[in-house]
Amino acid sequence: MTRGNDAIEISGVSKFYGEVLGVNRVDLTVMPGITGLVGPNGSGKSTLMNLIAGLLTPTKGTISILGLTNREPQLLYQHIGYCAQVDSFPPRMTGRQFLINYLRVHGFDKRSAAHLAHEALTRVSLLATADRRIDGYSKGMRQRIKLAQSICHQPRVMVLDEPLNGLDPMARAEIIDLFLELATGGAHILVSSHILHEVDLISDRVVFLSNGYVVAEGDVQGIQGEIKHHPIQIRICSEAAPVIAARVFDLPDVVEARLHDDRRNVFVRTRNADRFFLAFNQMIMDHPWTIEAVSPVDESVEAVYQYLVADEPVSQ
Amino acid sequence: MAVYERSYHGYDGELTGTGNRILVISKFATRELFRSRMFCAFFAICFVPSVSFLIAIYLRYNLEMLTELQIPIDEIFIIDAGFFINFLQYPQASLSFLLALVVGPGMISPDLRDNAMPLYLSRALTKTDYLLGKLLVLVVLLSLITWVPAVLLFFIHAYLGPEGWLVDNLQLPFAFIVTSFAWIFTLSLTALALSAWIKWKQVAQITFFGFFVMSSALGEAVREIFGGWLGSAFSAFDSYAVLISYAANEPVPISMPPSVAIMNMLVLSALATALIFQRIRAKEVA
Amino acid sequence: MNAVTYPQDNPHLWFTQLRAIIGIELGRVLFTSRATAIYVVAAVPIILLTTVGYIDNPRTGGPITGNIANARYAFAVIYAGFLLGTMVFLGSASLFISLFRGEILDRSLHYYLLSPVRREILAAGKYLAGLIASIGLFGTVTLVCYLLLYLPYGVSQMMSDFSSGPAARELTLYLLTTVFACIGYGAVFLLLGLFFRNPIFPILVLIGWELMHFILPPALKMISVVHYLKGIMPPQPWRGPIAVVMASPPAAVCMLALTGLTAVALILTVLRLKRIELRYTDS
Repeated sequence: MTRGNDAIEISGVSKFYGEVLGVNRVDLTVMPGITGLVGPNGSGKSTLMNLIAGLLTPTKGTISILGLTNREPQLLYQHIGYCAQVDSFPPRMTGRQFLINYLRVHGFDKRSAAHLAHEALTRVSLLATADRRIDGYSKGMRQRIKLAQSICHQPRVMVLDEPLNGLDPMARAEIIDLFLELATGGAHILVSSHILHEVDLISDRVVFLSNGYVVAEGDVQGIQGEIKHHPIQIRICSEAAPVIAARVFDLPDVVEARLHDDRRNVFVRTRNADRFFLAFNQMIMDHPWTIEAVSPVDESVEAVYQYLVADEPVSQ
Repeated sequence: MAVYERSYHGYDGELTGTGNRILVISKFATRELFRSRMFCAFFAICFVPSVSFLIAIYLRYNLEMLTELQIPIDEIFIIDAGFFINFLQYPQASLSFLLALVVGPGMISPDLRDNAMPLYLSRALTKTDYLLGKLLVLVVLLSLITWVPAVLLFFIHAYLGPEGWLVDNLQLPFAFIVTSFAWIFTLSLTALALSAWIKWKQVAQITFFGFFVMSSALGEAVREIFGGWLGSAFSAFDSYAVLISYAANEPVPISMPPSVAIMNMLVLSALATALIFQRIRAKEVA
Repeated sequence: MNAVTYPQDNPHLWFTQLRAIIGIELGRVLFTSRATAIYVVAAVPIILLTTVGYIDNPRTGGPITGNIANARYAFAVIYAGFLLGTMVFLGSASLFISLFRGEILDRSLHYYLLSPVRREILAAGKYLAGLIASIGLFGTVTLVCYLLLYLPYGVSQMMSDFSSGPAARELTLYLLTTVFACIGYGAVFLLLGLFFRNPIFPILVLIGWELMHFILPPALKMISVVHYLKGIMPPQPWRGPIAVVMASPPAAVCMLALTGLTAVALILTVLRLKRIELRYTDS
């Protein structure tokens, strides 16, 4: 039951643990789709997710999920599913029991709980081992049962803290497909991850965190476009690459041209990509070069991350 | 990948002895403890009875005005073996129990819970080294509040007191040291065993406390039904009281034979040690 | 996305949720390896009294306790000092503290907090589960231990005492005392488990408080569980930490007062639960 609101609204939220900053002055609006949360260790990703999930209360500011707050948990948590980073479960339960028990706490009767549990287990490909104790699960299976628990009641908002941890490549691909399917259906999916190329692959929007602050948010191309003072890198593939490398300095806003060792690719840095493309098009028409490819190299989460959050190493 | 320089060599320099490695474990465990201000305060409080007894000894021999007031100090203020036994048996036995309660259960459980045991045991450390390292912390701390102040008080009184008192009571320091170590090892090994078997320090503390309280209560119940000393056999505190009195050549307050008291402590310590070694493993065995 | 239809927020839903929580918690507190300690504690008095029942006095050749009156006296001592003062107190501490604090240590409380369940229902469910477990276990031990008194004296003595003697009344009072001890201590320990990261220190304070309750002023005595339990128990001999030193209110007043004390503790638990923040750390 929403109150005519389809967004997650985070307004001026700060969270301090004594004198230690968790997050500071975060303003975000998260719409349906997949939003990636990216940042180095200690940047505040888990704090922000815990705040959104209602497990923490902001020191300042407000959070509203589809118009609801954590003052009404009996309403709010019908719509939130949370996959925590901690790998812990109640003792002595099988996967199926784990899902059914907490669905019963949600208020579903036995039959509905069993049905929903079955569906969730199927979605995360854990049906075959559903009746085995979670204590005996592998890391990947534990991750999948956590995911199942977060989606089994079919919430509209899913807050997933490093959901792909411990999954093999096949499982990652399946789970990513699941996220895409859920997002297409209108769910809000908030995913944090260190695996930047996967965040790039699945996210409609990305939020970059560093030292408790949101340093950028939006789609990657948009963020890149906003970073006016950071030259964008463009790759030009051509047989005439050495000549092009020499000639591009005639074009406006070019700050660097680097010829690749294969002598077929030249990497050009320019302060203004739009003006460069216009001018380069004109240059091509004036010369008999065969251009095989022209592509921006920096329009990836990793490139933006490296620039915005330059201090921390990126784990792949 | 070709290897052509072969410039890498393993370390072949000097290594420290086993004793040093054990001390490393103790050092870091102690450092962690004293990081807590609450613990520092509690440890300081443990010395209050020692200071009180020291003041009592000093006052006994230095308050001339009491003699001038014709107060019969010799009758009301007797410093004899019983004085020191009371010091060990009442405030210090309880404080050492509380200290073991605070320190012991948190010694091994975090290493098991956080999977640090393979890190320890994949170094040049045996299970015994690891246990000794952890045990040393408790032994040192508990010694500092049991036999160490007791022996110091003894020698201070020997200095201040009547001539010949030292020679007449020379068995006392040895009695204090031996019985205190028996008490220390019983408490420490029990606390470490619970720490090894119970994942969470808080639960281990409650279990440690419950074990000793329950055994005392059970002893009380048995004493009530059967009479005699059988109930005291269940109580570690009673065993300690019997041992101190017996070792100090003083009247034993409980009719339990000292051999039973010794057996109690030995059995408990041996059982605790066996339990600890069962849990200290480099890997989980299903 | 196809959203499921949630039941309406009404007493029927609350009852469903309560049942689910109680079911989960009973499994956790009674049927895991952690329950071993409580079972051991519960078995000790049974073993002791069974032994007493079978061993003969070497001097007289008869029962160790001599006669049934002595046996009831011995039970009174055992009940006050061991069953109530140790088994119920420490057993309740272990059971009820683990309900919230144990889950925080296990890092699994968030599964409840992230469920659409009112915090009142969550607190009630956990408390009731603890109560069912503790009353079931400790009440059974009290009953069995009392009946074991008659082991050396035979069924006919037992029937006679229950039909025309004091046994029925005594046993009822002991059972009521056990029940209300579980109710009172359970609520207090549930609250302590939520408030304190390390409950051992408040337990030690509580033990001191209960032991010294007889010297407390009347206003402070009112927040001592054992003060009310004394009013429910059969008259006690002058022994142990739960000795009768000053008169307690009548049994009915004590039961009401304990219920009130329990209600206050549970209300505080709910208020704390509504404000709880979960940040799993090693401490």
